[in-house]
Amino acid sequence: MTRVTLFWGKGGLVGLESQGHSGQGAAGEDIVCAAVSTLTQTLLIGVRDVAGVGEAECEMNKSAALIRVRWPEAKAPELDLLTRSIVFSLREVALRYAEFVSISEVYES
Amino acid sequence: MIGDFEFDIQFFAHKKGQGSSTNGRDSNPKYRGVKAYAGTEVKSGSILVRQCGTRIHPGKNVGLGRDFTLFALIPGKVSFATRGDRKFVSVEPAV
Repeated sequence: MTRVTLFWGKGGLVGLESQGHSGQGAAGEDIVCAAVSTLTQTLLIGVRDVAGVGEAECEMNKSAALIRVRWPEAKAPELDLLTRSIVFSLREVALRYAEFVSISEVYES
Repeated sequence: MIGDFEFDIQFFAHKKGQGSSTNGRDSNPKYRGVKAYAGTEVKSGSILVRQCGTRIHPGKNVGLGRDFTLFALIPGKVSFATRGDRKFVSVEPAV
């Protein structure tokens, strides 16, 4: 089960953490993993390389199956189009493959 | 590759475990077989054949041990023969 945690600030999403093997199939055949991997890494690329948010903190730990990315709250509004697109897609995946993906949302005051 | 990481579409997949096999066991070697070939000069008591069961039967001047070992009873030359579907080993006395 891959656990996705979304961190919301006042202005929008301020971070995302995906952890755990989805367990839907073996490496190379796991379609759920492919979806979550792609969406999570697209968010990371979008924030850091496309939007150029240099202050973004990114962590990737393959053995722990962990990707964590956070960015300052001030950047949340300008990243909103990207982040909500990714979040909506992740929700769709979690809806269809609830056995392999779970999403929890943390609202930071 | 964008940024400094390698995009992995199977990042959250279980890595294929290394297959394991249930083989890999073997008993200790027993070193069986013919120890003195035809035409070999042997001394009395020399071991001619180590075997499991009587694959080769004792012929003239050859003894059969309790573990089916064949050994020379006299000094002489080793010879093998087949009678029917049985193999025999004998020792011809040294002239």
